[in-house]
Amino acid sequence: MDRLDRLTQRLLEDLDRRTHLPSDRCLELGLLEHFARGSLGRVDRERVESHLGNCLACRDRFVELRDHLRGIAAPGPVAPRLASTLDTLVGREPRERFWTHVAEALRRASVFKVPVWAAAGMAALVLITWVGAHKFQRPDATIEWPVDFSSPGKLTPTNRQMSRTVSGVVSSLRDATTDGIEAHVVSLKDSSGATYVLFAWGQPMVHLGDSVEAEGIFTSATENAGLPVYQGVAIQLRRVR
Amino acid sequence: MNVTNARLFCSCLSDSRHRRARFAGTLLDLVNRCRVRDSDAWRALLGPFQEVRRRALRSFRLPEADSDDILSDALTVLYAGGLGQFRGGTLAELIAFLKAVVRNRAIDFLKARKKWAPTDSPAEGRAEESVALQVGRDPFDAVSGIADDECVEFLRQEVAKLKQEKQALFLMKARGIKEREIVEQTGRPPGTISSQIARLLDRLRASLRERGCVR
Repeated sequence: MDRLDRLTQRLLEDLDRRTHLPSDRCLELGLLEHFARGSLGRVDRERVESHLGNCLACRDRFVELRDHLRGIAAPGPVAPRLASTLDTLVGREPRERFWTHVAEALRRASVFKVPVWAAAGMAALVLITWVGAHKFQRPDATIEWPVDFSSPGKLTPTNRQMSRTVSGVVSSLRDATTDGIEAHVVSLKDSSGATYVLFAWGQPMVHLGDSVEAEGIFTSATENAGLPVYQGVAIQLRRVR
Repeated sequence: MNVTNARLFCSCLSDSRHRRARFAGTLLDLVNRCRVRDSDAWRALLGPFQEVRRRALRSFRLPEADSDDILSDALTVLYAGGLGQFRGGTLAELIAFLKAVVRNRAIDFLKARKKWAPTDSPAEGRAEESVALQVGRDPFDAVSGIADDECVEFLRQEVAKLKQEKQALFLMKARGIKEREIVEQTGRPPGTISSQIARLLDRLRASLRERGCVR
């Protein structure tokens, strides 16, 4: 601030003091307002113009008043801080606080918080369900067999994975060792004449002519001379005394 | 009436005398409604009040945040019953009232920060408190050797010699009105205003230099 600025500031202060202590000759504020708004008659207007030409204090008041009138005639947007203060005064929630709440609610909605224990429980439930479904799964479709098992026959398997136990006399034994893996095929004939051809691992534990019970999984069936022949894998063979 | 409506009314100010008078009446009516705690009226009053604040605090040269603090403080004072003390009946008196409230709050604000330098006159009351200078007052300029009081009087004489248009131009500039706003108020081209202000200040500086007030 140079000295001219400082002197100007002092001059304005002096004018302000005179404004607040107007002399009898100075113009009333209301008259200046009407002059600024152009609502004075010719006589009053000329009187005001004449005075303003000689009184720097009134000229200053007029300049300031005209500036204020123009300002309040076209006010700018209200500062958020001021609006917020008024909201607080009138007892309403401030608008900016409202929008803050909305933003906070959106933020919360977008962040789905799950406790660790809940996540672990969910994972365990999924695992148990999956294991249970596979463990206790029951196939619902029937197996398509190459022959019609509705014809008289002792064995009518409904599930290739379900074992059956049959009884009979060992009619043949044949080694089936392959690539060093010991195995054999045993044939049984039951009392009805049906033949069971079973593949079994290891060395044969039964002999020709033994009466045995065989638990096996039967996978196919054919006929030989009008008698059924069932083929499968032996799970267990034991002699019957 | 909301703020938008108030602005619409305000925009009519320059249209016609009839509408200007209507606007003044509307604003005074708004004040009456504010006195009975009409919240919509208060909201409509905020815009004009803010404009008064902007002009009243120009010479304080405060940061915007401080001005906002002062304005919020002044609003609280007015809402708490301060507006009820307004007894005037004209728009000019309302402006002067609001201006005094804002300036008094600003002076309190600066006093609290110990940045306010009181004016010389011991007789002036609170309402007459003038611009709060944020710089120390130097009653005697050591460089020029001429006292400030004497130089202020020189400046007054020089300004008084100016034509009315130039006087108004000097006062508008001194009051901190932006050149853009001066252009709007005077209706002269921007370039003309800038050059006129520059020549005016050069002329005043030269006159004061002759009297030994500036170097």
